This record gives sequence, C-alpha cells and structure tokens, in this order.
Amino acid sequence: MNTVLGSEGEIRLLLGNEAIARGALEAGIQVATSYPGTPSTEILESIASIAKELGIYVEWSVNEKVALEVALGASILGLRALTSMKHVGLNVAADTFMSLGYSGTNGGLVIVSADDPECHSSQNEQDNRVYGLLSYIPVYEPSDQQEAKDLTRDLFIVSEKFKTGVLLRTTTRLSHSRGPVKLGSILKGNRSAKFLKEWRWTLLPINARRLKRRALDRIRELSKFHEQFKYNYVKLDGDEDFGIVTCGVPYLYVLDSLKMLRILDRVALLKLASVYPIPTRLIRNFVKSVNRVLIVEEVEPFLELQIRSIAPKDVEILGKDLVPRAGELNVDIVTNAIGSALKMELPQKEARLYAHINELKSKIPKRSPILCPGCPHRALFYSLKLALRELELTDRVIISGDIGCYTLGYFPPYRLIDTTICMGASIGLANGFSHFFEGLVIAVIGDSTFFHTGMSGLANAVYNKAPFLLIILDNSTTAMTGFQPHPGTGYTATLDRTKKLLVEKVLEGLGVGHIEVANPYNIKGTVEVIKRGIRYVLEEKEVAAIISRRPCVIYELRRRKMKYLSTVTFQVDYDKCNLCMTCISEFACPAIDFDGDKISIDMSLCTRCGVCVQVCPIGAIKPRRGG
Amino acid sequence: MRDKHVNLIITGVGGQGILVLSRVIGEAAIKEGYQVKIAEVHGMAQRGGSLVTHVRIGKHVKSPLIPKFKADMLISMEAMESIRCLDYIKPKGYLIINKYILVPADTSISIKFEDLLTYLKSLEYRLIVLDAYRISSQLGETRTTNMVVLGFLIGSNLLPISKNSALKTIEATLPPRFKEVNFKAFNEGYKLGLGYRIEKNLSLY
Repeated sequence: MNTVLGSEGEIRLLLGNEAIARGALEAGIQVATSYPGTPSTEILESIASIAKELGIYVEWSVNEKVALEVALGASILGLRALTSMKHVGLNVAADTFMSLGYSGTNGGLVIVSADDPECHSSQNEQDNRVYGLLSYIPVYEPSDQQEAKDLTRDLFIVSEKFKTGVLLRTTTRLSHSRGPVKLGSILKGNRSAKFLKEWRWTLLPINARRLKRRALDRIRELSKFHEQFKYNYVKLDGDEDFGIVTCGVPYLYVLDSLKMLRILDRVALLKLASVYPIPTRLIRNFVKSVNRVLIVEEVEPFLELQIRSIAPKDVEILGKDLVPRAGELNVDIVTNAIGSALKMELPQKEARLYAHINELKSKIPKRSPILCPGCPHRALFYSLKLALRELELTDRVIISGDIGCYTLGYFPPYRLIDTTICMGASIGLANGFSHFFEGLVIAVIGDSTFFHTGMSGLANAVYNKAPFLLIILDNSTTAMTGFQPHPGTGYTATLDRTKKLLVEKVLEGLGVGHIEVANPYNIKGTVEVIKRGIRYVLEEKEVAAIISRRPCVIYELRRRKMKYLSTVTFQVDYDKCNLCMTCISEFACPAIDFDGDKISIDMSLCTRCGVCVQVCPIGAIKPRRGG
Repeated sequence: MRDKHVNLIITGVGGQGILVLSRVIGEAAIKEGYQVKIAEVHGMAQRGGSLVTHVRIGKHVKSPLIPKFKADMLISMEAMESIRCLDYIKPKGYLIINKYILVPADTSISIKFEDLLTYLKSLEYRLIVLDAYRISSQLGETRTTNMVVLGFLIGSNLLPISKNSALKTIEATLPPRFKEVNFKAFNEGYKLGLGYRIEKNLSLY
C-alpha cells in the first residue's frame, strides 16, 4: 500500500513528512529534490515512490546546495518544485538560499527545513526560522499533519503570487508523528519549461542593489497578506486578560495544557502559521486586548523578538524567561510555563513515585546507539585499532570523524573518533590538523558524505600537501537515513540504473598518490592495507587514501531478501575459550553475549559475517557449515 | 463509535517491529472512527537502540506526546526498556511486558528477567507478562512478536478495536508474503487475550 497515494476524501494516518509530500502532489509539483537527513528523509522517499506514475522528476542530489539549485532551476523555468532537507542541510544550501531571497522565483518553490529540537539525530538544534529574517524569505510552520498537507499545497500559490521561495519549517515531532489526514485531489503538473531572460537572474551588484529593495517591499506586502492568512487562528472573546501566542506543534501542547489546567475558556489564543513576517496589525490587536501574553515556541525566541518590537509598552510579554530555549517542548513543560505565568499552584505529580522511578532508571544500563551485528564499520575500526597498535601510534593520532553510522566509533570500546563537526568536516579538519600536529592524522568519512562535501576538502589536501590518511568507509548506500542511493551506487532515486562514480576513480582524478581498497571483513588484509597507507603518509608527507569497501549488512540482507549472509553458524568452543574477553571488550558485537560465566553467540542476531572468528586470538569461535 | 480515550506507550529496541505495531493500532483505531496521533522517535542506529512510540486514541486528540503519568498502558517489547518509561504510566495503569530481555553489548552488568519482574511486581501496576517472544519463535518467525502482542491487546479488550478491524489493517499495511504467519501470531495472542478478559471479567476497557 502506498502511503501518499489515495483518493480524494479518504482519511489516511500519515507521517508529517508524508503529509508534506502529499500536499506537494496536490499542488502539481513537477520536480522534487533532497539530500537524505533525519528528520526530513521520508518527504522525498514518499514522492520518489510514485514519481513515475505522476511524471514527477525526483532526485537525491549530491548535497542540499545542489538540491536547492536544481529546484530553483526548475522554478526559473516556471515549474513547481519542492526541495527538502534537514535543518543543517540549509547551512550547506545557504549561499543559494540567500541569493534566491534576492532574485526571487518564477514557478512555485517550497523549501522544507526539518528542524530537530532536542538534537534527536543531529549535531545541533538550530532554529531555521531565523533564516527567514536573513534572506527575506517568508517562513511557515504547520501544527499537525492535516495542516502540513494543506499548507504545503497552498504555499505553492503564495510562492507564485509573490514570486518568492517560501520556507516551510517542520520539526522532528511533526515530521515523525502520524495523524489523520483527509486527502485532497492530486494535481498532475503539466507545465512546459520556458526560459525568459530576466535581469533578476543575474546577481551583479547593479542588479542586487535593486533586488534588495524589492525584497524589502515584498516582505512588507507579505506581512499584510498574513493579516488574513487562513492558517493563522485567533480565539479571542475580548474579556480575557491573558493570552498565548504560539506556533507549530507547541500549539497542540498548549491546547492539552489548557485543558488539563481547566482554563481553556479563560485564555485567549493566537496560533500563527506565518511566523515570518508576522502580521503586525493582527498581533498588535491581540496583545493589546489581553495585556499579558505568553509566547510558546520551540527553540529560539523568534516570534518573541518580532512581537516585542511591535507591542505597546504597557503589554507584559513573557516568553523564553518561562519556556526553555534549549531542547524540545512537551505538554508537561508547557503546563509549567503557563502555570508560572498565571501564578497557579500546580499539583505535584506523583512526586514520591517519580523519585523512586528515577532511582530505578539510573540502575538500568544505557542503550547507547550501537553498530549493528555484522556492520563493516566495526570490523574496520577493529583493524584500525590493531594497525595503530602495531605501529605504536595509538597515543599519537587524531582521528577526524564525520556524519554517518561510523560516528558511533566515538563510543567505547572503539573510542576512535576524536572530532565530528559537520558533513565533510572530517577532511577539512584533517587538513588543519596535519599541517601542525606532530603525530598522525586520519580522516574517516562515509561514501555518501564524501560525495556530499568531502571532495573539495580532498582537492585542497592534494593541492596544499596536507599529510593525512583518508579512510573512506564505502558501504554502498546512505545507511543511517535508511539506504538511499548516492552517486557511488549506480542507481537513482527512482531506482533506475545510472552511471556509477567509482570512489577510487574520483581519488585518482583528484591526484591522490596512494589509493588502496580493503575488504573490512578480512581483518589481516585490512590491517596491512592501513599500515601501508600510514607509512605512505609518514614517508611521502602527503595524503593517502584507503577505501574500506563492503555493503552495509542490513542493506545487503534487505536487498537480497535474506535473513543471514550465509548458512554457516558460529559456536564458542568452551574447551578452548579462556575468557580473554577480546570479543566482548574490544570487538563488542551485539550478537556476542557474556552472561558472567561464559561467552555465547546469539544466532538470531548474528548476521554470519564471520569476523569474530578472526578476532578470537586463540581460535575458540568456530564456524559450522549448514547449521 | 465508542467514546473511549486511550493513551499507550510502546517501547522496546529497534528491530522489534514497534513502529509497525504502533501504526497498525493507529490505522485500526481510525477504522473504528477514532482520532489518532502517533509519535515516533527514529533513533541514530538502525538496530538495537531504545525506541519509544506514543499512541493516542480518542475523540479529540491534539498533542502527539503523552504527558508524564497519563498513559493508560505501557507495552514493553523488551523488559529493561519498561523501566525507562515507567514515569509515563498512570497509577495502577497496565504494564504489559514481553518476556524478553536484551542486555546491551557494551555493559558488564548482569540483569536477569526474573529479577526485573520481581521488582516490577512490587509496584502497583496491573502487570501482565506475555510470552510473546516464545510464541513467535515457535511459529518460526520472531519478527511476529509484535503481532502476538497486538492479538493480546485486541482479545483482552484493552484496546477499543475490533478483531475484524485489526485483521483488515494487518492485511492492508503489512507485506502480503507475511500475511499468513502474521495472522497466526495474532490469533495466538488473541487467544491469550481472550483468556485474560474472561479471567478479569473485562467487558469494556
């Protein structure tokens, strides 16, 4: 059953991301682009799954900047285009984003930023609504799945009316929650691409100066337009002395809180979907009629700063002094904020039980994210550790990591990742380290991330003679976000065959002097490859590269519709096992258990990669054919 | 439409079919005419990490997240994970635990299911231990543990969802090649649930 297809009037339980995708389909988009990133990935995945039927061009772009440029190109030609990315992806695309704030657009262009308050799966929780202020691009925030669908659809009309790109901000909580959505009808986009020469597409200073003034005018117009915007909602009887202004999912928390506090009837409410630019008259009237206002929004005081700047002096405005600026909100946090604002006595919930449960929780071991059984990254990390040990470099190495499953190499027992800053930064930082650090510098990056923002850093390393070892973990997919294809896979977003960019050819083309491919499932071989790479770096004082190539085991099994890699099973020979604990404390595969007495292998978790057989120093783990 | 409001939290580790279980419950509740919100948190690792979903079923459901001590029941597909979510269950709420424990690979602490159980029994929850993992193992497909649990929830009447709606949803949502084994697992759980309903005389949730 395809989640985003379905006929008009039908009610579907959709993820926020699926709702956004559906909204775009109902607007007749002809182009959708993205680079995978949690929590945005399902938007493009949903569209890709039906792209052929509807004649939509979709692509996983090499990175977010390119994704936005492909969409802008389509927009300039008059087509409706959607581009989606995680919040930090917009940093990569920021150059283009700022410029299109000046140039404007032609066909409807909706840019979705999926923010991640609480950093559930990101390096920061930046609030991308702020980008609106910087770029003169309007920003919208839906509160639930139905609104996400409808708003996305209608934003294409807003975009075309004002000839501007629009930013739709969603968050993890909306993107990854399901709610009922009543479907509208899908519009099959059938515009033909036309290019009209216009001065605004060329941002020479002479044009840019004019465009800046135009952008400012546009923002003023949009502010007026937002006075009547149908997704803004006001509940104001006129006799309330306290009101709440909110937006996004926190609106739902506010509703639940007011209900729990039994004051839903006594509090005025303003829910904004157009968070930039704000409708000034609407807001001024609202705050004036209540005198005290609490602004409930997630992460930065974005509405708060705008509202403070226009509110009359005698109105009391509360915001980030009561609502935390760090982390995600929820009903409990919002209830406390409202309670404090109204100086209400809140019942202390189950205080004793709470303390008791907290004590109990502290005794349960954390389940830190771990590499899967059979993960080729684990095998590579193990070999890397051995190679460093053999060359006595363990204490004289900096390992510069990147964004992907392999970031987990930071955790014990590997403890190999020393830095992780952002996409592609492993190579950039390694450039910086290697010019000054006395020991060895290693950069570790995945294949998809290498294509994303790794290549330019490597060109820099070759050009400026930065001596470090580059390890590319090539698992033939974008694993962490759920197996999206990338330029190195030979497949497109719609799973059509395409040219496959071989990593080693790219390295060769960039002028890397030493390139070797290793199979990480072969420990001995991989250790030798790593050692050769290190020696090259130390002797030649220039960058060397290793490609550790083995498909992600989960992806491989799923693709081949298999439960295990082979029919071989593995057993511990208890006559031999001397409990040296190498397999537990150095290799740490989740399929290998130690119950306090003996080591055993859980065959339901084991993927049959066979690496542990090589890891055991005394050969106590034994394969058995056809078991 | 029955006028019920149920908040449930489903927890366990990645790979136990928690997202699927949540979705099937949600879709089936929609068939019954309810509003539904499901919050999922997709973690960092593909497999083996803690996973929690919030499922809210009712006439008017707003926030996707359940406040602390407001969940009517906690379903824990893995025993240790139940502890991490205890502060969501309301006093005397249902705590349904699949008899399965997975100690993290990077810990040396030895925790046994029985010890956890003894402890949980001392608290004032309506505790139900389901041998769902064993049942699914016997069916030769441990990936159907979630369907055993679903069958129990429907059979026991703990969820305001009919058997018919549940089965229809499984058929519509899950891959056809697993239909037969999913139905079998569901029915095993359903029988257990039915027994529980009779034993506790649960007419309606």
